[in-house]
Amino acid sequence: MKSVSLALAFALLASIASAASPIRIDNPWSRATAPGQVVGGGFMTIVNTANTTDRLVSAASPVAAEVQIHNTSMDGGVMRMRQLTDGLEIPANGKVELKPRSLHLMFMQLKAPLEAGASFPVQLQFEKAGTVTTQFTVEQR
Amino acid sequence: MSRSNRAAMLLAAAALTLTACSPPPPPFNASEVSGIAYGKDIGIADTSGQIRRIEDFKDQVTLVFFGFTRCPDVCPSTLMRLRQVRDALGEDASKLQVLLVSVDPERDTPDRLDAYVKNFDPSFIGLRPEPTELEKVVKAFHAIAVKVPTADGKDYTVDHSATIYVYDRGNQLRLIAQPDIAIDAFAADLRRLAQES
Repeated sequence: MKSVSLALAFALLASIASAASPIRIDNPWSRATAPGQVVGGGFMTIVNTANTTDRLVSAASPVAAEVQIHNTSMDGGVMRMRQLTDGLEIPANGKVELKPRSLHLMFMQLKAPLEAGASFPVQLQFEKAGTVTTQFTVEQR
Repeated sequence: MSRSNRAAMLLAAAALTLTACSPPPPPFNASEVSGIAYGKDIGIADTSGQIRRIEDFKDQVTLVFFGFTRCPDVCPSTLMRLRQVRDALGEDASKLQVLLVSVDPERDTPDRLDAYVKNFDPSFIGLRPEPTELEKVVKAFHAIAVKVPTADGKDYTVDHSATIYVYDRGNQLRLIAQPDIAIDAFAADLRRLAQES
């Protein structure tokens, strides 16, 4: 009962926070990792409802020592992955999709394998909207 | 003209008509290649240390592609799709062998590489060239693998070819597929190769 009411309180707080924030995170998910695999990828759609551009500048999560923002590009059949050290711009009244073979979060030095069905929090730091915390679910896909 | 001659001519004409009318086999969905000896005679150790060559996978449709376990995006996507392709093959799945060649043997220990590929399908095999052999292996497939330092300079990632090399049951390179090929389309290609005599 206690945990239920705590969860309710948390959900309420989360909804209040998200109601106030112009940033919305849709469908955050992470791919399940194998034992010994030290990195994982995170995907989501970042929606900016504000009339000004914003920027995702950093991210953090208790599951990883570090979270980086990456872009994968395919160039003549060659996969290239680069860290976006200047962050990721989110257009005003627009959205940016982080998806496989494209933009993604990279969870570095995972502390434990990400198991399908589990979920974990990720704190996203935006230049204007501040901190947005979202819950990533781990999926085997 | 004798009756038998006439019959023979009619038969020949019928055969010609048949040949002319039967459509050529439809193209494969992936790019078709022939007479290209990529990867031929190259032996690479699997995660138990046994040297494997394409030619060892007799009667199997063999897929080869490059990747590494610190690749969080394209490599798992490809492995997951190949798992789905394998599932779509049904009874022909047993004729499919997937080989992932590590482009990061220094960090991909045999155990780590094995767990990584088997996380997607227990039939998948990880191959791990010795670090000193990597360049030779990559060249044998006319592929690319380049170490690139990360932005903070403390680490590195590996840019690498993401194409999938498809060998038929006679161990000849037949198709080159891009990693985003549709699952149904790729499964149809592989089913055709699996059912070739």
